[in-house]
Amino acid sequence: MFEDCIKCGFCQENCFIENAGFESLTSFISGDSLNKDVIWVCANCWLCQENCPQGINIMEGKYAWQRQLEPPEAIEIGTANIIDCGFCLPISLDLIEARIDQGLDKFDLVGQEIIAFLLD
Amino acid sequence: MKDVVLYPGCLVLYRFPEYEYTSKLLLQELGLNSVALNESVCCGAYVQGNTENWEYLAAYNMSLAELQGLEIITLCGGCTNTFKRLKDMCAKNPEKLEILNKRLSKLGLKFTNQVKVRHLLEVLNDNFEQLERQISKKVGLNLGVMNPCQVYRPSEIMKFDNPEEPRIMQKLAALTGAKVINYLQEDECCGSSLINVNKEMAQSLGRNRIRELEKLETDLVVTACGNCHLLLDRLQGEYHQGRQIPAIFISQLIGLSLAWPYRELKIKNALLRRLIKNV
Repeated sequence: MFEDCIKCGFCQENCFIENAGFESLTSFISGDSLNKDVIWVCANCWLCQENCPQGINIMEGKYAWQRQLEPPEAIEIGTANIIDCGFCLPISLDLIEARIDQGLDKFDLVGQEIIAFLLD
Repeated sequence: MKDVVLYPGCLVLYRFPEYEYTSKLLLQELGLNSVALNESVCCGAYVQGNTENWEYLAAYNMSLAELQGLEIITLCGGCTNTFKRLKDMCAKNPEKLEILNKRLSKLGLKFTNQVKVRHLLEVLNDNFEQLERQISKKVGLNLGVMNPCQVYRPSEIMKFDNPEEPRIMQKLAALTGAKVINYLQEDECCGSSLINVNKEMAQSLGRNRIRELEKLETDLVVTACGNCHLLLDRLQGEYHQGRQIPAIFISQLIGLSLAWPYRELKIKNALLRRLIKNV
């Protein structure tokens, strides 16, 4: 994915996290940081990819890297929630019931076996 | 009235029913009857860094909508981005569509990639003239706009507004008679999803923005994504000790301008309630 990268630094220049004084994914791409933890420091704004002169699919590359790393705790919790109720936040039956009083449509949560089947 | 699926996504479903409710009302004003997507799941955005199988979550949701022949209207940047990107991947690579359907077929589902997906902002923009005619109450407040960046980028897929300097949301906000305040970070991502990785960093980015808005005497910040709203409104008190700048969802702002009964705006924030009551 990054074999066409010419280390021009455009991704870093366009990253609002870097511009606010923090190291982000783009520091790792440009070689300024060797700390793999920064691969998770990305807010998914896609501006780096939008400006990459080499047309590199930076975000797909990032996800491929992330899949080889231990995820941050919050991502693990969110993933466990998805396995449990289908959503990355703990959506309970009570919350679904409360939708009626809020003027919203009630809907059924999907069975855990279907979520497991999709994610397997 | 045409039926559509209103897909709130995890965060709006969990924390911001007022955004879903007011969007539902707004869609009604535009002749769209929204329904919930039964047995839906997370769009897949959250687990993209964990597993390639996020694609099955996105395809599953879209196949459920296709089963009813309905368009999906999204409320957050992440869900919009995920659905549209998977659609694009499948359009460019029919083999991917085949692989996804091999699994979905065991659930009696088929993803044809015919489903239309639009974020609420796209729907509002597509109905701009109608909204312009219907606006009956001018909102005399100073607003900063918080654009949901993933609705615009990557531009070759999202194909909506200027990808680096989006202005449609500003145009929609100005439609209400509010004064749109230009500010330093107006084209920047909110940084909210960094909460999952480094909360202090996300708070620092939120603080920079809110301080700038405070300096420019902004009354409110208008949002169109649960993530932006979470950092700028719900968590604001954790990182900003100055004057509070409440956030309002675009659907609530337009509803205000359409002179909806006050209770229908579902305003939770006390300061926002006071500001709105003076409109």
